[in-house]
Amino acid sequence: MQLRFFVSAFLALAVAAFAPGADAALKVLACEPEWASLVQELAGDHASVYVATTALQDPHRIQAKPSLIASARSADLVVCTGAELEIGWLPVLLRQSGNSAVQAGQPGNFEAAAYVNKLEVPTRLDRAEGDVHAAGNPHIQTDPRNFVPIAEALAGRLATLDRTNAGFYQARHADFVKRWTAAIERWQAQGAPLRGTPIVIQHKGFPYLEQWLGLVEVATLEPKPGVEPTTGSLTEVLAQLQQKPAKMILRAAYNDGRSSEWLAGRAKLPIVVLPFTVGGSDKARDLFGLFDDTIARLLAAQQ
Amino acid sequence: MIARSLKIALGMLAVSVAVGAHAQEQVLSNSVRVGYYYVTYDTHADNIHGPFVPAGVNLKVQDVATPYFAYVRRLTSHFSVELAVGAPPLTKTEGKGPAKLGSVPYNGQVITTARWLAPTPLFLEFGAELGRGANFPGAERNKNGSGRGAIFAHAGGDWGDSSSWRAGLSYMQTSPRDRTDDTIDLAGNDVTNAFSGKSRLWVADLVWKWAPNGNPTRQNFKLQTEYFQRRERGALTYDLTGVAATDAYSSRQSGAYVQAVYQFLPRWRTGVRYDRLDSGTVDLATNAIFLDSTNTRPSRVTWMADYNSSEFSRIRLQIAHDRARGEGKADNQVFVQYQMSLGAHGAHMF
Repeated sequence: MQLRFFVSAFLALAVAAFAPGADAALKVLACEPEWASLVQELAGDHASVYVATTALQDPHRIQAKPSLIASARSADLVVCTGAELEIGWLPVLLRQSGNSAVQAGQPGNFEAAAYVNKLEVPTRLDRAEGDVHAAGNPHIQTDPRNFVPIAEALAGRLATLDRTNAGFYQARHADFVKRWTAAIERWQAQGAPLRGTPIVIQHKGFPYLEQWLGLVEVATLEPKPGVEPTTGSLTEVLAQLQQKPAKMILRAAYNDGRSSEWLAGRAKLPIVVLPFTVGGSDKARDLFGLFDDTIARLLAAQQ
Repeated sequence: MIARSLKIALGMLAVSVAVGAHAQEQVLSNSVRVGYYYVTYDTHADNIHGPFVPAGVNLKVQDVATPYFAYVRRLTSHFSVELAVGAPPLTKTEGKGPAKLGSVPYNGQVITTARWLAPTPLFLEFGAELGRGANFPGAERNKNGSGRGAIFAHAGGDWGDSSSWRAGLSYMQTSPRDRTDDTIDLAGNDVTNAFSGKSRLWVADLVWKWAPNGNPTRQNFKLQTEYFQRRERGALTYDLTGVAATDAYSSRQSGAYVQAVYQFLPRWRTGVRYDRLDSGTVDLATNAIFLDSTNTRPSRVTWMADYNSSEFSRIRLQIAHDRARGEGKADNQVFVQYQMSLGAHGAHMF
């Protein structure tokens, strides 16, 4: 019978699709590059990490494409920001993956934002306000101090999932924290002159950076979070800057540059393209490079 | 002969309101489309309903009905297609007259779907589905059990950071009993025929998406294509309520479309679609003396441009050159469409 042929062809394909590999490393799917780097710091060769997005992609607007579903299928651990940053695609991805180990609430699902205090938690939720996240601003990776509690929780999670190497993860964590705390002190010393600098931002992506370095946000290019600026809204910002002048315009590497260029030309302000995450600039090759470069770019613009 | 019937169909103002979960496969199944269609074809368009159509207006002229307004809304998830072009592809339409011969809509309630995803870096998904099979190409059989079975396989992945793809192959089988079909016989009478037998449908599909650095915010491109082939074998009863002549029936028909949509600026998109059907070979045995089995190949080319003032509303201009009524009968159509959706906006599917 014809159907029997199809069914057997189907099964043959299914079997052929299996590529049996005895890979002992923990398979990690990181939603954003900063978490991939953090896993690398903590787990080294004991984890093979797949990064779902690049620094040039808007993490709010990713689609649950086949390659991501395939990587979620075989992941032992999914590390994401949470706080609704990935709400547009991660739930679909996890559901389609059929992988019970990484569903929300399971040990294989790690939400970094759960371990830090979030800023800009809205008191009112309304679609008319744009893409507002109920849990607060999710762009937690712009303050290096946030990585301390996250690293601790993540090291613990790695140890839970891979007990045989628990000691290894704890040792790498201790080493990372030592290097990281020293680096934070260095960055804070370097960034001290930035305190009180008035800035214009493109997207509400920097509240944690502002809080850390004491930058003062005086205007936002996007009229509402996630809504592209229009000429009208930019003109308003320009008028606003006459009253409250700023020193620089900040945007993330993935943001479209046109609106900041429009404003920069008229308001005579330098644009600072921050890497925003690992891979967002040539120098931001790892977490340390990310903040070295962020501080360097801000200082250069202040000159 | 071609130019003679080429008249311009003026304006169609359609207001589509999608209520409810604007998400994933629910996009189509939960969509409620109310509209006002003002059509001046050189053909007739009966069965036009709408809140703004004055009572008692008879839009009936002669000729065959247009297939546009009776399209299949419920498509299964793996065959769902974003209606980037205002009207669904011909393969997804169900109309009267010649278009029906080649149309291969695939619908029917799904009882259960089982999927298995291979643990491989390449996306490989296999699945099977059971359905009631009560809808075309099946028929209600008033019995327990599944009336339709389908198997499918999908593969997908990335090409660099900027593009991704998914390809699929599906096979569906159903055995309709007394599936009725209203048509016009060679003598010009309206008749109802009934088919009983086996119906098999193959579908191949491909989606390719591109965005610079994988960031679709500013620019993105989507190409999608589907090919359908349906084979049926069984018995056809001509004129169920009159002559009721039953004889063997077999057919092999196909349909396909290719659609490309390009967002060239934020909020602005343009797209083209080419779709065609092939009524293929139809063997009516002795019923050939009553019914027309001439091969027809309706086709249509559509161009559209739309502006999305927000995620929830869209205005679209669409121009179509339509040969859905067969060779030598072309309609040019201009549509202006306004769409808005209410309710929660769910996750984006691939």
